[in-house]
Amino acid sequence: MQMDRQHIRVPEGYFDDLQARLSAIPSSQRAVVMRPWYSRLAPYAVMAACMAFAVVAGNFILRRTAPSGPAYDEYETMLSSELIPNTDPYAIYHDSEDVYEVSLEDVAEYLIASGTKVDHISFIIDE
Amino acid sequence: MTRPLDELERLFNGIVRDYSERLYWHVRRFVHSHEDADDIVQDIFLKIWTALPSYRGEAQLFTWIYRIATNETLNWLRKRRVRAVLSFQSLDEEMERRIDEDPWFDGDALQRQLSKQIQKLPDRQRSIFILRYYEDMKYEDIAEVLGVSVGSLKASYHIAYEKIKSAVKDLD
Repeated sequence: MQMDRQHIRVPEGYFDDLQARLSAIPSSQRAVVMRPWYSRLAPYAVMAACMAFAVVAGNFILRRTAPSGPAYDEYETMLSSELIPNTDPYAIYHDSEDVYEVSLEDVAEYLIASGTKVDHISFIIDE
Repeated sequence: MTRPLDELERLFNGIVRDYSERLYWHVRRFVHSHEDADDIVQDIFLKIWTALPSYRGEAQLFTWIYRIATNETLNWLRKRRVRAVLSFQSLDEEMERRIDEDPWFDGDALQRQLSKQIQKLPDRQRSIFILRYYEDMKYEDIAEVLGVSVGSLKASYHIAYEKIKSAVKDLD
Protein backbone atom coordinates (compact mmCIF):
# COMPACT_ATOMS: atom_id res chain seq x y z
CA MET A 1 0.00 0.00 0.00
CA GLN A 2 1.33 3.43 -0.84
CA MET A 3 0.57 6.94 0.16
CA ASP A 4 1.19 8.81 -3.07
CA ARG A 5 1.86 12.16 -1.57
CA GLN A 6 4.60 10.96 0.64
CA HIS A 7 5.71 7.67 -0.93
CA ILE A 8 5.75 5.53 2.15
CA ARG A 9 4.87 1.84 2.31
CA VAL A 10 3.69 -0.32 5.17
CA PRO A 11 4.03 -4.08 5.72
CA GLU A 12 1.52 -6.30 3.91
CA GLY A 13 -1.73 -6.65 5.86
CA TYR A 14 -0.64 -4.07 8.41
CA PHE A 15 -3.87 -2.07 8.55
CA ASP A 16 -6.06 -5.17 8.98
CA ASP A 17 -3.83 -6.26 11.82
CA LEU A 18 -3.91 -2.75 13.29
CA GLN A 19 -7.70 -2.65 13.23
CA ALA A 20 -7.89 -6.03 14.95
CA ARG A 21 -5.53 -4.90 17.71
CA LEU A 22 -7.34 -1.62 18.22
CA SER A 23 -10.74 -3.33 18.31
CA ALA A 24 -9.49 -5.42 21.23
CA ILE A 25 -8.95 -2.32 23.38
CA PRO A 26 -12.43 -2.22 24.98
CA SER A 27 -12.30 -5.88 26.08
CA SER A 28 -8.72 -5.53 27.35
CA GLN A 29 -9.74 -2.49 29.40
CA ARG A 30 -12.76 -4.37 30.81
CA ALA A 31 -10.38 -7.05 32.06
CA VAL A 32 -9.16 -4.55 34.62
CA VAL A 33 -11.72 -5.41 37.26
CA MET A 34 -13.31 -2.53 39.11
CA ARG A 35 -12.84 -3.02 42.81
CA PRO A 36 -15.94 -2.73 45.00
CA TRP A 37 -16.13 0.38 47.16
CA TYR A 38 -15.29 -1.42 50.41
CA SER A 39 -12.08 -2.85 49.01
CA ARG A 40 -10.89 0.68 48.31
CA LEU A 41 -11.33 1.44 51.99
CA ALA A 42 -9.36 -1.66 53.00
CA PRO A 43 -5.92 0.02 53.23
CA TYR A 44 -7.29 2.74 55.53
CA ALA A 45 -9.07 0.15 57.67
CA VAL A 46 -5.80 -1.78 58.01
CA MET A 47 -3.92 1.38 59.05
CA ALA A 48 -6.58 2.26 61.60
CA ALA A 49 -6.50 -1.30 63.01
CA CYS A 50 -2.70 -1.17 63.31
CA MET A 51 -2.83 2.12 65.16
CA ALA A 52 -5.56 0.86 67.50
CA PHE A 53 -3.53 -2.26 68.22
CA ALA A 54 -0.41 -0.17 68.90
CA VAL A 55 -2.34 2.01 71.36
CA VAL A 56 -3.95 -0.93 73.19
CA ALA A 57 -0.81 -3.06 73.28
CA GLY A 58 1.36 -0.13 74.29
CA ASN A 59 -1.03 0.83 77.05
CA PHE A 60 -1.12 -2.74 78.32
CA ILE A 61 2.67 -3.07 78.33
CA LEU A 62 3.21 0.25 80.02
CA ARG A 63 0.70 -0.53 82.72
CA ARG A 64 2.23 -3.93 83.39
CA THR A 65 5.77 -2.58 83.58
CA ALA A 66 5.03 0.72 85.33
CA PRO A 67 6.84 1.04 88.68
CA SER A 68 4.73 1.10 91.87
CA GLY A 69 5.22 1.10 95.66
CA PRO A 70 6.19 3.68 98.29
CA ALA A 71 9.33 4.82 96.49
CA TYR A 72 7.36 5.42 93.33
CA ASP A 73 4.61 7.17 95.24
CA GLU A 74 7.18 9.44 96.81
CA TYR A 75 8.68 10.07 93.42
CA GLU A 76 5.27 11.00 92.05
CA THR A 77 4.83 13.37 94.94
CA MET A 78 8.20 14.95 94.25
CA LEU A 79 7.32 15.20 90.60
CA SER A 80 4.07 16.96 91.22
CA SER A 81 5.65 19.19 93.82
CA GLU A 82 7.09 21.33 91.04
CA LEU A 83 3.57 22.08 89.84
CA ILE A 84 2.19 23.03 93.20
CA PRO A 85 3.52 26.18 94.81
CA ASN A 86 4.47 25.57 98.40
CA THR A 87 5.81 27.61 101.27
CA ASP A 88 7.27 24.68 103.17
CA PRO A 89 9.59 22.73 100.92
CA TYR A 90 10.53 20.37 103.73
CA ALA A 91 6.96 19.12 103.86
CA ILE A 92 7.58 17.35 100.51
CA TYR A 93 10.39 15.29 101.85
CA HIS A 94 9.04 14.76 105.30
CA ASP A 95 5.45 13.85 104.90
CA SER A 96 5.86 10.39 106.34
CA GLU A 97 5.45 9.51 109.95
CA ASP A 98 9.02 8.43 110.31
CA VAL A 99 10.55 11.87 110.56
CA TYR A 100 14.18 11.84 111.49
CA GLU A 101 14.78 14.42 114.18
CA VAL A 102 18.11 16.19 113.78
CA SER A 103 19.92 16.47 117.09
CA LEU A 104 22.48 19.07 118.10
CA GLU A 105 25.14 16.41 118.05
CA ASP A 106 24.30 15.71 114.40
CA VAL A 107 24.59 19.40 113.64
CA ALA A 108 27.95 19.64 115.43
CA GLU A 109 29.27 16.60 113.61
CA TYR A 110 28.24 18.07 110.26
CA LEU A 111 29.79 21.42 111.03
CA ILE A 112 33.06 19.81 112.14
CA ALA A 113 33.11 17.70 108.97
CA SER A 114 32.49 20.77 106.85
CA GLY A 115 35.46 22.57 108.35
CA THR A 116 33.63 25.15 110.37
CA LYS A 117 35.76 26.80 113.10
CA VAL A 118 35.26 25.62 116.65
CA ASP A 119 34.32 29.09 117.84
CA HIS A 120 31.54 29.24 115.30
CA ILE A 121 30.35 25.74 116.19
CA SER A 122 30.07 26.60 119.87
CA PHE A 123 28.27 29.84 118.99
CA ILE A 124 25.72 27.98 116.91
CA ILE A 125 25.20 25.23 119.48
CA ASP A 126 24.82 27.73 122.29
CA GLU A 127 22.21 29.52 120.19
CA MET B 1 -26.32 10.95 30.39
CA THR B 2 -23.79 8.13 30.09
CA ARG B 3 -23.91 5.90 27.07
CA PRO B 4 -24.34 2.17 27.58
CA LEU B 5 -21.17 0.14 27.18
CA ASP B 6 -22.28 -1.70 24.04
CA GLU B 7 -23.12 1.62 22.37
CA LEU B 8 -19.68 2.95 23.28
CA GLU B 9 -18.08 -0.15 21.85
CA ARG B 10 -20.01 0.18 18.62
CA LEU B 11 -19.00 3.82 18.34
CA PHE B 12 -15.39 2.97 19.12
CA ASN B 13 -15.25 0.16 16.56
CA GLY B 14 -16.65 2.56 13.97
CA ILE B 15 -13.89 5.03 14.81
CA VAL B 16 -11.29 2.26 14.48
CA ARG B 17 -12.70 1.27 11.09
CA ASP B 18 -12.89 4.82 9.73
CA TYR B 19 -9.85 6.46 11.30
CA SER B 20 -7.16 3.92 12.12
CA GLU B 21 -5.43 4.21 8.74
CA ARG B 22 -5.84 7.98 8.50
CA LEU B 23 -4.42 8.49 11.96
CA TYR B 24 -1.53 6.16 11.21
CA TRP B 25 -0.48 8.30 8.23
CA HIS B 26 -1.02 11.47 10.22
CA VAL B 27 1.33 10.24 12.94
CA ARG B 28 3.78 8.70 10.52
CA ARG B 29 4.40 12.06 8.88
CA PHE B 30 5.57 13.41 12.21
CA VAL B 31 7.67 10.55 13.54
CA HIS B 32 9.14 9.00 10.36
CA SER B 33 9.19 5.51 11.82
CA HIS B 34 6.69 2.71 11.24
CA GLU B 35 7.26 1.16 14.68
CA ASP B 36 6.90 4.44 16.58
CA ALA B 37 3.84 5.41 14.56
CA ASP B 38 2.28 2.03 15.41
CA ASP B 39 2.91 2.56 19.13
CA ILE B 40 1.56 6.09 19.12
CA VAL B 41 -1.57 5.09 17.20
CA GLN B 42 -2.33 2.47 19.84
CA ASP B 43 -1.90 5.06 22.57
CA ILE B 44 -4.19 7.43 20.67
CA PHE B 45 -6.96 4.87 20.42
CA LEU B 46 -6.56 3.95 24.05
CA LYS B 47 -7.05 7.64 24.90
CA ILE B 48 -10.05 7.80 22.56
CA TRP B 49 -11.63 4.81 24.28
CA THR B 50 -11.01 6.35 27.72
CA ALA B 51 -12.36 9.76 26.71
CA LEU B 52 -15.31 8.48 24.66
CA PRO B 53 -17.80 8.39 27.57
CA SER B 54 -17.17 12.10 28.15
CA TYR B 55 -17.56 13.10 24.50
CA ARG B 56 -20.76 15.12 24.36
CA GLY B 57 -20.66 16.27 20.75
CA GLU B 58 -19.35 19.75 21.56
CA ALA B 59 -16.95 19.39 18.63
CA GLN B 60 -17.29 17.35 15.46
CA LEU B 61 -16.20 13.76 16.08
CA PHE B 62 -13.38 13.80 13.59
CA THR B 63 -11.89 17.09 14.85
CA TRP B 64 -12.13 15.68 18.38
CA ILE B 65 -10.27 12.55 17.24
CA TYR B 66 -7.63 14.53 15.36
CA ARG B 67 -7.12 16.79 18.36
CA ILE B 68 -6.34 13.76 20.53
CA ALA B 69 -4.08 12.32 17.82
CA THR B 70 -2.18 15.58 17.23
CA ASN B 71 -1.73 16.26 20.94
CA GLU B 72 -0.52 12.75 21.59
CA THR B 73 1.96 12.98 18.70
CA LEU B 74 3.27 16.38 19.74
CA ASN B 75 3.66 15.12 23.32
CA TRP B 76 5.68 12.19 22.02
CA LEU B 77 7.89 14.58 20.05
CA ARG B 78 8.36 16.81 23.09
CA LYS B 79 9.48 13.86 25.21
CA ARG B 80 11.78 12.76 22.43
CA ARG B 81 13.25 16.25 22.25
CA VAL B 82 13.96 16.28 25.97
CA ARG B 83 15.61 12.88 25.72
CA ALA B 84 17.73 14.11 22.81
CA VAL B 85 18.82 17.22 24.72
CA LEU B 86 19.79 15.12 27.74
CA SER B 87 21.91 12.95 25.45
CA PHE B 88 23.47 16.06 23.89
CA GLN B 89 21.82 15.28 20.58
CA SER B 90 19.45 17.11 18.26
CA LEU B 91 15.96 15.83 17.57
CA ASP B 92 16.04 17.48 14.13
CA GLU B 93 19.18 15.53 13.23
CA GLU B 94 17.61 12.33 14.54
CA MET B 95 14.51 12.89 12.41
CA GLU B 96 16.61 13.63 9.32
CA ARG B 97 18.46 10.39 9.93
CA ARG B 98 15.16 8.53 10.20
CA ILE B 99 13.99 10.00 6.90
CA ASP B 100 17.27 8.93 5.24
CA GLU B 101 17.23 5.43 6.73
CA ASP B 102 13.51 4.64 6.60
CA PRO B 103 13.24 1.21 4.92
CA TRP B 104 9.60 1.88 3.99
CA PHE B 105 10.30 5.09 2.10
CA ASP B 106 9.59 4.61 -1.57
CA GLY B 107 10.16 8.06 -3.07
CA ASP B 108 13.06 9.79 -4.74
CA ALA B 109 15.64 12.21 -3.37
CA LEU B 110 13.42 15.25 -3.96
CA GLN B 111 10.60 13.73 -1.97
CA ARG B 112 13.03 12.85 0.79
CA GLN B 113 14.13 16.49 0.85
CA LEU B 114 10.50 17.61 0.99
CA SER B 115 10.01 15.46 4.10
CA LYS B 116 13.14 16.97 5.65
CA GLN B 117 11.97 20.53 4.96
CA ILE B 118 8.59 19.81 6.50
CA GLN B 119 10.38 18.27 9.47
CA LYS B 120 12.28 21.54 10.03
CA LEU B 121 9.07 23.53 10.60
CA PRO B 122 8.08 24.34 14.19
CA ASP B 123 5.64 21.82 15.67
CA ARG B 124 2.53 23.95 15.38
CA GLN B 125 3.32 25.11 11.86
CA ARG B 126 4.13 21.56 10.83
CA SER B 127 0.80 20.35 12.22
CA ILE B 128 -1.03 23.00 10.19
CA PHE B 129 0.91 22.15 7.05
CA ILE B 130 0.37 18.40 7.37
CA LEU B 131 -3.36 18.73 8.09
CA ARG B 132 -3.85 21.10 5.18
CA TYR B 133 -1.47 19.70 2.58
CA TYR B 134 -1.77 15.96 3.22
CA GLU B 135 -5.19 15.64 4.85
CA ASP B 136 -6.93 18.31 2.74
CA MET B 137 -8.60 19.49 5.89
CA LYS B 138 -10.62 22.71 5.82
CA TYR B 139 -9.17 25.67 7.68
CA GLU B 140 -12.19 25.78 9.99
CA ASP B 141 -11.64 22.16 10.97
CA ILE B 142 -7.89 22.67 11.48
CA ALA B 143 -8.75 25.64 13.69
CA GLU B 144 -10.97 23.35 15.78
CA VAL B 145 -8.30 20.66 16.00
CA LEU B 146 -5.49 22.98 17.02
CA GLY B 147 -7.48 25.57 18.92
CA VAL B 148 -6.22 28.52 16.86
CA SER B 149 -8.02 31.10 14.79
CA VAL B 150 -8.62 30.57 11.08
CA GLY B 151 -6.80 33.79 10.23
CA SER B 152 -3.62 32.88 12.07
CA LEU B 153 -3.45 29.38 10.67
CA LYS B 154 -4.00 30.60 7.10
CA ALA B 155 -1.05 32.91 7.56
CA SER B 156 0.98 30.15 9.16
CA TYR B 157 0.22 27.72 6.35
CA HIS B 158 1.12 30.27 3.72
CA ILE B 159 4.47 30.98 5.37
CA ALA B 160 5.23 27.26 5.72
CA TYR B 161 4.26 26.57 2.12
CA GLU B 162 6.47 29.34 0.78
CA LYS B 163 9.37 28.26 2.98
CA ILE B 164 9.22 24.67 1.79
CA LYS B 165 8.64 25.61 -1.83
CA SER B 166 11.70 27.85 -1.89
CA ALA B 167 13.85 25.26 -0.09
CA VAL B 168 12.82 22.48 -2.47
CA LYS B 169 13.21 24.78 -5.47
CA ASP B 170 16.79 25.50 -4.46
CA LEU B 171 17.52 21.81 -4.40
CA ASP B 172 15.86 21.11 -7.76
